[in-house]
Amino acid sequence: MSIWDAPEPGADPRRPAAAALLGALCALLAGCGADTPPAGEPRVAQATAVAAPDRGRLVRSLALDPESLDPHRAESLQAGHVLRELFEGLVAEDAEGRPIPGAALAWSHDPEWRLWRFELRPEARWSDGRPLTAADWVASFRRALDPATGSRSARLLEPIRHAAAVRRGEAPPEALGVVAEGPLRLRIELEHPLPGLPALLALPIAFPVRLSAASAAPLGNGPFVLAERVPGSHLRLIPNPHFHAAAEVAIGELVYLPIEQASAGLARYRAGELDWLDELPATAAAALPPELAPELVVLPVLGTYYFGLNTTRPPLADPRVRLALALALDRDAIASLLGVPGRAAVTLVPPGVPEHRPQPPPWTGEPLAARQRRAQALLAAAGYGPGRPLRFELRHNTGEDHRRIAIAAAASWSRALPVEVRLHHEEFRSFLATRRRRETEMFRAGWVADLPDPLDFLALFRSGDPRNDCGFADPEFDALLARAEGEADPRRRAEWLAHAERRLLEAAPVIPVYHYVSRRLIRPWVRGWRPNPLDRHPSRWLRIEGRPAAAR
Amino acid sequence: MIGFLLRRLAAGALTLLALLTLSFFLIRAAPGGPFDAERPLEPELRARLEAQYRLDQPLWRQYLAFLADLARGELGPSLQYREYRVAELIREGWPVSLRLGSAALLLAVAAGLGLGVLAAWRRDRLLDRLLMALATLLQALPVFVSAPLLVLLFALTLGWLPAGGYGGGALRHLVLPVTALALPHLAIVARLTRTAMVETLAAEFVRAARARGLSETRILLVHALRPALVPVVAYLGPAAAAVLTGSVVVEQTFGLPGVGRYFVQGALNRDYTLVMGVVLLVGALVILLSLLADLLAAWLDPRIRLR
Repeated sequence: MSIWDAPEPGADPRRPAAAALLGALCALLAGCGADTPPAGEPRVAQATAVAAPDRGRLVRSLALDPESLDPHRAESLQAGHVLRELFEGLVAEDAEGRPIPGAALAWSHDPEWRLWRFELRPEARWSDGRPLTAADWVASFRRALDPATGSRSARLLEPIRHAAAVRRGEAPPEALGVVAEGPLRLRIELEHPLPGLPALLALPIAFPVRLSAASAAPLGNGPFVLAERVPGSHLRLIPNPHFHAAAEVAIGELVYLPIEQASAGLARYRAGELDWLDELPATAAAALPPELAPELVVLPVLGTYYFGLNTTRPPLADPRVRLALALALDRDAIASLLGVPGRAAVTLVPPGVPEHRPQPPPWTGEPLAARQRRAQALLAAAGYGPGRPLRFELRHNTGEDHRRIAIAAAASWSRALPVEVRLHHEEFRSFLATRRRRETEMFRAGWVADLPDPLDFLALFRSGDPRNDCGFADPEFDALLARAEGEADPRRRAEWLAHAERRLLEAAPVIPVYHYVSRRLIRPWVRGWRPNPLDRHPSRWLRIEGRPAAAR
Repeated sequence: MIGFLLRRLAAGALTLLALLTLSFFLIRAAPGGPFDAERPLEPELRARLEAQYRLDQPLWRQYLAFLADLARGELGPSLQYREYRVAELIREGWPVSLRLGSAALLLAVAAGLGLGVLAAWRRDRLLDRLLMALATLLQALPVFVSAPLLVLLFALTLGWLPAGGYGGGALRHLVLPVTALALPHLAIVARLTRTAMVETLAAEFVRAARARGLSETRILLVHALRPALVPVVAYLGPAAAAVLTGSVVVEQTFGLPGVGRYFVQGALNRDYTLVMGVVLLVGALVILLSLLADLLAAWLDPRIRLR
């Protein structure tokens, strides 16, 4: 998923001032419009629910205005946050990110992990009160994979039988391996064993969708319903009375404010207008006013920032050159620069993936100087030396942190090696196009996991994958991934994947730099959240406790 | 007069067409497309999506289709905000920008004129120097500096006003953004007014008025002000178009749901249809308000002929 930079905060007004300037302004403003909101009709999805006033109001920020509230079409992390409030998959996640029964009460699978049965909750309802049946689920999965829906995330569903063919329009949607075995029982057949299917079914792409004639955004089945949506201003959510666990939802009104500018988000948090500020930039976190420092929460994220190396053209087509650059990079310096010492990355798959043993390369323990000497030898063998330096371009999308990282990386290479790095930055979409066309030699990239599965990272480098901007093509690596996918034993699957990662890091089409962290500000009265591997914090698990009256 | 209006409107329509044509091809010439993302689509799926939005056709055909849609008043669906049509986004956002912008414009004109007249009356004295120094400062201060400063002072330090949000258009939510939006224009209006006034005050007819024994106040506010307004009005035409279509900096700093941010976001997201929508809005406004400014100038100064 794309990593975007975050917004800033705001203030709580007390009393209007009587200063002359303000008085004059008030007169002017009053003269040019009524006090009714002219912002156009808010979009009302369904307003059958009535907010209970004694349950708390929670205001959270979003670093990006969600591009869509259709789970099959939305792509951004931020849209995902809102979708998890509005929808629930067959499987849900608890506050610690573990799969728990969602719209399905229970499930079972065959010993091969290929045939799954889900027992649906008899009380499951759409937010308009209509029962949610197995037929609805079949229709939703078909829609997610229908090429006409044009979903990017639907790739994640490809373990389902015939999903890939349906998605490419080569098979009719009816061929999909999702079958209703009665109104309350659903059968899902898979192409290959997948012990991690429940985690997959908790993702937005697996949410049920029912289009409604009354609104542009589809109807949901989650803990909250959309009461109001004004693009660029706010999303207001209220509890869904038809949600199966409605009694446990402790937030009476949930407001999301899209704030794209980090400094504005911080000002609004400081002014008391936000209870929860997401995606605080590293520089802002380092310069917090002392009274806010205790409210800063920094958590690891299952994601890695890395440099991709174009393996399809010289000079980085030479594996010795790539390995030399991987060896000589001073990752600790970069991690300290970003204020996340300890998150320097030598592996692509971040620590914290269940069942996965990290596979640090053999040189991990060596001191930097020794690694740099080995890098010099490798470059010399590849024909580069002081008389013929290695020259390449490192390209990144425009952004302060990306720039600082690129400069630090270039410095650590050119100090130790006969290397000349040209830095080049570009606006995001142009940058993506350059990367995709493989018109640069080295580029900045990042990946945040959708699933706690090493395959989620490793598959980026499979030959022919559209995300494989490095052009890396190694039949043995591909074969290892295929073996892992065919493996029914979770432990052996993990071993194949570990083997594949070792192989990848030896060939070094990727130089991991650091593992992401999330930085946010959370008010002390927001309770119930827990650190979790995928760093998701749906409001279903949150509650307001002990908020001082002045902050209400 | 009627002939003048018709000629100007026809020329305006041609200008707008040229502007739209240029924008149409420029935004499509930018590298990357609306469906590029860090999580790319397989080529065949991408092709299908592009076909849905007619992006697979040759550029000239897309252009003709765009013109045909435009003639029917249809701006198409937004490529980024997939549940909205461009017309809907503009319909929801523009009233906000319009409200902020017209308040800012009123503030800029009223305060700018007042300070300009004051400075001209006290020309070359201390008050004049102070006012003009202040105006220079405000004119030079970019909004991305003044807006956060206003927040820091009035929202965070004094706690009088909210730091952001539209609040349904409530007055206290508008004060800071309107001020931030108005300040640079206020400064320019004050300087233009002062300069024009000083010039007019030296004119023959003012000396004649003095000779006839008219009071200084009457000379200042009746005889000298009217011709001195001409450069101000000429400036305000295009400036009003810019102010009334929102400011991305003010909207982002204060979290306001106007249309200003669509300029930047539309271009960054390669949301071709949204970009064309905002270009149309701004282009049409600039042309209409410039025309209005010319008419107003002619009314203010009979020596100006409309041709």
